Amino acid sequence: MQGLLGYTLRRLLWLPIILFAVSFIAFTITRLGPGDYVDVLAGPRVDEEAKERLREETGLNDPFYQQYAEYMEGVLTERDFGKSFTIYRGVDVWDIIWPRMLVSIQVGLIALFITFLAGIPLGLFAALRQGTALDPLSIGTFLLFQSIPVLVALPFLVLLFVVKLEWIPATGWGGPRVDVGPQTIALGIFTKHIILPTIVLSLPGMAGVARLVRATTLSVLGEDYVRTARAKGLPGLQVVGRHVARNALLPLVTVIGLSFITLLEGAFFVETILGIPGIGQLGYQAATSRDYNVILALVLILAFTFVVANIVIDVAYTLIDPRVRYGEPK
Amino acid sequence: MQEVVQEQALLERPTVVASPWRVAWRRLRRKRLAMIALTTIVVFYLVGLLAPVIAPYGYRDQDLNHTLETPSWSHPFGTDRLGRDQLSRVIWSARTTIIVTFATILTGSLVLSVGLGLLSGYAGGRTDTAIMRTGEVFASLPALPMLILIGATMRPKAVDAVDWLESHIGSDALRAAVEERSGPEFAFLLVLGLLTVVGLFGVCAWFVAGPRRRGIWLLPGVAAVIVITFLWAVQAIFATPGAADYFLMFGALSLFFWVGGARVIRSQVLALRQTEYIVAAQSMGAGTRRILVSHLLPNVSPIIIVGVSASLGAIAGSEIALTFLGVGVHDPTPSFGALISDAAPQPVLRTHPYLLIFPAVAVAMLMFAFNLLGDALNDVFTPRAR
Repeated sequence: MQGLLGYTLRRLLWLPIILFAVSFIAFTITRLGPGDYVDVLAGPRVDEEAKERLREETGLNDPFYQQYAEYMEGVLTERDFGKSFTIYRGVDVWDIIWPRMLVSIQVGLIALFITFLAGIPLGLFAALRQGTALDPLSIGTFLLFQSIPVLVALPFLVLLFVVKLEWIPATGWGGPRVDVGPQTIALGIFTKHIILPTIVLSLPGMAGVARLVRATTLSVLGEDYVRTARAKGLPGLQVVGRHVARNALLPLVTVIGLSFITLLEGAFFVETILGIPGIGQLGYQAATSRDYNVILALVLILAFTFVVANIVIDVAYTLIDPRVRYGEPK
Repeated sequence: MQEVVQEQALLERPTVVASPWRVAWRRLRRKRLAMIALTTIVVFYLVGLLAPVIAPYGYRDQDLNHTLETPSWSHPFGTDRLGRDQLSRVIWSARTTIIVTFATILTGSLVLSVGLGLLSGYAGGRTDTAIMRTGEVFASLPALPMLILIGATMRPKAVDAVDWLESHIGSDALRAAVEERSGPEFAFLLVLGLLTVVGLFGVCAWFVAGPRRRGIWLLPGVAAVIVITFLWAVQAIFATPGAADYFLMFGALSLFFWVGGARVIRSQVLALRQTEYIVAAQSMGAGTRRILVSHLLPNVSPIIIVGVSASLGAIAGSEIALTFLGVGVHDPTPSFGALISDAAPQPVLRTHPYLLIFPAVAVAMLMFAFNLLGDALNDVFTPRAR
């Protein structure tokens, strides 16, 4: 099948297969990895008989594929990801993750917005100054910001802004509270708490966007239609706005997915260091206290988001830029 | 008559053509920033490799009378909360980073991605589909959460496996095996010896055979050398505490770092397969291995280099990140991730900022250097008109 519809359908057909593979691998690792699963589930000081009862109750004596099928059935029908073992003993994993996801999304969306809002003009500016002394300087700065990992940059910023300059009162999270079902969450986007995570999360992405915009702008600047626009006497700003920017910014659509990943991976460090109650901090707590159900649920939710987001972005790109062919060349 | 003689003289004179590698090196040398980056990386690696020699103290030497001291002459980077010398910890951390990056590059980036990429591109058909679809599944996984999952759950298994291996092929077990001359341990030694012979033979043949037939000897030689280095490194690392962490980490990282490289190599092979020299080699009856090794491999190697330089930084970053999150290398094995995570809490930052500054600057410099070099290599090997 050809055309956009066929391409979209083909991508969507892959979705369940990939999700099956992901969930099966993740489930297998969690159930088979940590020696005896019941030891963690039951906690210390539990005798053999109680463990055996627990095995029977939780279905651990069933065949493996059956355990997987039951788990996935629970996940798909009732969002039942099991219960937390260690962090919030006995609480439904979904009830823990859902409010925290909303906190992470606040930070992530603002950071994503700033990434592109600041990155695009910076890249355009650097491209238009090509050949001047500003050019190598800006490239070097972008590369520097892009290469410093979040977990290195963040403690430095805390040291500078919180400890030395005391511009930002303290780390943490707060603000007006909103009820979202099982518990309330704070809308930190209206407070000073949003400043530091936004800066540190958007810096590497911003530099990356700026570098990409610079490269694409340079290649567009060499096109015939730009020369034509200049030759017919269009003012410089209009040439950039109407002809250059429109074409140079198209490839940015593909980077949205990538910045999304960077943001999410950064969230693990930012939320842990700054004490923001989002899924990154939860992931850290779950990893250190070996709360396997929470980790498994996080992996499944994130994998699902990733795969869907990537498909949406690829399809959107073929819609926006008709020059892109669907799928692989034959 | 005169002209013919001259022409013949011209033909007979050996033509000196700079090899592509030399051209690339020359281009690279002209980039000042890239050379600075390269020097930084080389220094970092030397420091890490020579850690046992350079480091003034051991990484687990505690001195509880001198905890949390500010930098001084005896402890240039200060001491941590257990009185361990921070300078030594930083130096030993470099070693951890090097071990993990090297092992991952060798398995994940070189063997898996080059092998699978070449195979996938050249074989096509079902092999191609199988490899690329598997890659697609891995690429669509969120790497960091998956690595956390693996690190958090598989550790006991990895520790058990390493203990078992140590009792079987550790140096003590091997020494006993030599005396007994039997058992699986002795067989392991025999395999190692055999591989050494093959490797040496391959390397010798490579020098003797001359440029034309080198390709044929390159594969077994290189393969044997890689396997020996790997086995020997494996054997040697067992002595170090925390070996299980190293294995677990590079195993997990390899799973996620081969896909990108394999894809790029595959697409390059697909393009190269249509070129005249491959078709010519095929028509002259060259076998698959010959075409792969002596025609395709040299032509994709610039891409491999660019890819490796890019993933070196990424792998080092992942190691540090995982350790920071508590699922990578475990105490007392030093790692930049652990150093930074110890120094990052606000109370520590307030009173002992120097604990953060030295490891953080080292990591930032290394990452910047990797990126600068990767960028320069990209320019050097894939020159485009700007």
